[in-house]
Amino acid sequence: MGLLRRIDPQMTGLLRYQLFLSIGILFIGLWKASITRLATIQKTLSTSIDPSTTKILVIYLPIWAIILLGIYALSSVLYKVATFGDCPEAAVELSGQIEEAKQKLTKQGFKF
Amino acid sequence: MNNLRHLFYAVIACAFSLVVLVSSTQATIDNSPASSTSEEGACLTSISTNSSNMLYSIILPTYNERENLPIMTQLIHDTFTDAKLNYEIVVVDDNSPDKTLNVAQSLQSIFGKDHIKIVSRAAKLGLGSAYSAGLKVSSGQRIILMDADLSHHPKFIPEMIAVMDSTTKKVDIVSGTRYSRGGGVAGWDTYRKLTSCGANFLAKFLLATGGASDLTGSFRLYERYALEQILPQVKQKGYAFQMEIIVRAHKSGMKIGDVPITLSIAFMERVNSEQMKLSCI
Repeated sequence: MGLLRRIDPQMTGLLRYQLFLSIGILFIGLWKASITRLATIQKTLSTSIDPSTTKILVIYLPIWAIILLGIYALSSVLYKVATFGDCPEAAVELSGQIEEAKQKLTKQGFKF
Repeated sequence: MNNLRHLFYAVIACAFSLVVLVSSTQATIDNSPASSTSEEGACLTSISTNSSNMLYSIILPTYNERENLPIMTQLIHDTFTDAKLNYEIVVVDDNSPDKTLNVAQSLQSIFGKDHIKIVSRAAKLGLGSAYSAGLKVSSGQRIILMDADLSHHPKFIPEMIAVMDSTTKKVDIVSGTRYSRGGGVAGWDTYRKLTSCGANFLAKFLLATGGASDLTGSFRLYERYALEQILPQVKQKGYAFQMEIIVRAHKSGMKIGDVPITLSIAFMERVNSEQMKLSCI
């Protein structure tokens, strides 16, 4: 998302579905290209990664992408929950002010 | 043949990345005049009316708020008196069975008709229409929408006004956010926090919101023209209503500011707990 925001800071330019569509088609294009050129990729990576592992990585690329997206979503939501401010003191402050307000209102002739 | 196909895919990929880049740069060019006109409009209102003379209208839709409304009114009165600002409260009551209307009327006799206006409606007609009805009756140049159940504390209003008055970055809407540093909630369990954060994450991911950090919050300060423009377009109900306001505001080039707020639930859960769970995440 940070990258998207850098491309289009206001995010008003494209409708969101257009943005997702273009990213999706870009991804499918790259995926298809890397499947057709699987042998080349296997050859270049053969020094560090086993060719059969490369094959699994490339063929199931959309699944890896979805899993990564899921991890990103889950971790950012959990981070938000963990850092969600707890403020019991606000409730304490309010209950004090409620009593104060009630007294002021009673003084002005308001009946509860 | 294989090479040709490969080339074809590469061309499609490049074309689409170009489309993304070109239309985004175009969009920023297209949008700059729109946003500058809205900024001009905002500047004009702030020049023509000194912000200390400005009238702030607070629209409080009520349903069974007999106990909370008087306290809310007193807190608002104290806040605005301390900040030396003019206010009016518009109570929009949907024929509450607990006779909130009578309470509002006796408050009107204490605080005066220029401070409290009452809209009484025959039945529960929904939040969106309550705000529209309140807006029609109100006469302030700036409108504050908040809940009458004491979950929102009026003490944050002067901070919101300060953000709106700031000349460095002109904003049309100031949204109270629970997610920023200094903001938060009192007495929410993890499940409820999870719902709130999940909904906000999903909305921010799927919708263009211009970086507003609390999309489901309902404590906000609006320039009158902003609300008058957006409110008639909004179709959603409940928390989605608050989201739609931000999305539509962003779409029409308005700027949105943030102020951290804390949410208390002193009375809220007791009354209408079922409905609150839905409308407040």
